[in-house]
Amino acid sequence: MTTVAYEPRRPNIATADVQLPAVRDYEQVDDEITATLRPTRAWFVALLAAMVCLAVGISAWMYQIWGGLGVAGYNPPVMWGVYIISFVFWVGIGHAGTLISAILYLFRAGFRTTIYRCAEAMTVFAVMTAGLFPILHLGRPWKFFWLIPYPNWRLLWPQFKSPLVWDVFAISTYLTISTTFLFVGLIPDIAVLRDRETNPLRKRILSFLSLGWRNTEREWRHFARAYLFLAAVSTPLVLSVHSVVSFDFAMALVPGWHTTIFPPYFVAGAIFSGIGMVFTIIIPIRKWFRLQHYVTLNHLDGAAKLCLATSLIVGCAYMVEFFIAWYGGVKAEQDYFWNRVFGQWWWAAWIMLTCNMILPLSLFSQKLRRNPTWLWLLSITINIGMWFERFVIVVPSLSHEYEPWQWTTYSPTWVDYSILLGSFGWFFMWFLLFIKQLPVIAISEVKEIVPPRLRHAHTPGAH
Amino acid sequence: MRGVLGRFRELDAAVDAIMALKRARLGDVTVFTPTPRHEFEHAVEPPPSPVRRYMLFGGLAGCVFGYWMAIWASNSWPLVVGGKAIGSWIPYTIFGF
Repeated sequence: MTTVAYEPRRPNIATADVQLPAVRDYEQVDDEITATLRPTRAWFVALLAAMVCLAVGISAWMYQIWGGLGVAGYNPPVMWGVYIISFVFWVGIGHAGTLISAILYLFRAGFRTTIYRCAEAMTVFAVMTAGLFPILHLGRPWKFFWLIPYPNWRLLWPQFKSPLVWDVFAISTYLTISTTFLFVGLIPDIAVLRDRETNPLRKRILSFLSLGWRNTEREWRHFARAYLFLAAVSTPLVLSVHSVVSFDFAMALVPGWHTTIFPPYFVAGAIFSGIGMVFTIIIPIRKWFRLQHYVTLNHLDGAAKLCLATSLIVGCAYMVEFFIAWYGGVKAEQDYFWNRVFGQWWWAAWIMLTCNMILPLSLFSQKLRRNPTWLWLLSITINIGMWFERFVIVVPSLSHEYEPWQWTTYSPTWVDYSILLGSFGWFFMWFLLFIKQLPVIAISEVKEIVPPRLRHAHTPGAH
Repeated sequence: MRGVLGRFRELDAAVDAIMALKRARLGDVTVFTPTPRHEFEHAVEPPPSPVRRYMLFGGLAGCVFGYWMAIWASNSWPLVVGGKAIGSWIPYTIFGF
């Protein structure tokens, strides 16, 4: 038998520049990551808290259906409020997941490897949450399917030039692709769980979900290709979905909305807010599950740089908006922006500017980028700031249009707040259920980082 | 089905064995591996996969269907909105995409 000159090739996935020195072999990866699936008392308490929040939201929605949309604080012309704000907020949260799992995969950014599963699951649950809000915003929510084109006896079709119909397509496509992407990435990990499972019913379910995965080279090859194709398909969606969401506003002739900067501005904001939520979730997970040697400070540092970059883009977009309002010379636009920052809505605008533009500048410091406590606290302010960004986009425009007699105010009611709380309950309930059923870190991709055992050890540089 | 199962601890040893089996033309070789490795792909030399053609066909068919559905429905229910043509392809790119 002849022996080939051997040099390890670059791994399939984006792990070429990642090192996990505390992870020695495949068994350790399997043992430590599957250990996170054991339920604990703290997990049950967290799940209960999420379900209580959800119950509060459901109760408020039932009250709203009984009392009508008026109980949610809508008064003409401010007919969009917390529900549309929260819709845009949750769609935005999802975007970082797709960016991390798809775009960073294509760019071979190694720091994504241990955080992408969390981010991908977050995407699916965030889009599931976002999809509820347009329905919650309907006076007769049981008619929501009228937006979907289907053959019906009235021979009526949705208006395909309406941004609301574009939304239906953009969000449903996004949910389909992100769910498929999450599931495809999970197949080899589900097979690991299947092989370790002793409960016959769970084993059958996991066997079905793993699609008969046997770890053959042929399966891995098709898996890697399918994953690559899905990453390529998902990549334009990161840009297109929030662009379509921004069209909901930009197509309307309302001061502050009717502007061409909205699509890139929304996309950058979405990615920024999503990375904030990734930190909010991944930092407690790595601490509670003792996964600091998987999600290392290097990974958090890389994600923090991405957070800083998107914060700078968002800050630049804010400045460009102000500049164009001034430079464009349209009185209604100028008045609107003045009212936004120094007038009626100054408090919301300054929460937005402080949380999204000023505080993230701290990430220029490497010391703070590598401080999980600071990153977590910052992520909370980013979540708050990005919710207020959407508040500042939606409410001040509608309450300060062209005619002074239209100028009004808006304040959310307890129904709005309860439904917002319920949406967090819904999101975290799914996420908590996910982390106890499926691995929160991709077992298969982490195994690729573990160097393979070799008969002829390779010395770097020796050929 | 009859066959021979070999177990290898080292990656390069497994690759050498696969290449020797291929040279000796000893039938199909199936490799079981805990992680995907390009070394195995090069050693096994699989035929090109037809999946990419299915992807291309599916993508094109979906795109055509998206445009067709929007144009056909607009012609069935012809409401002029915003001064745009009934079959307005620019906004319908969202459905095609």
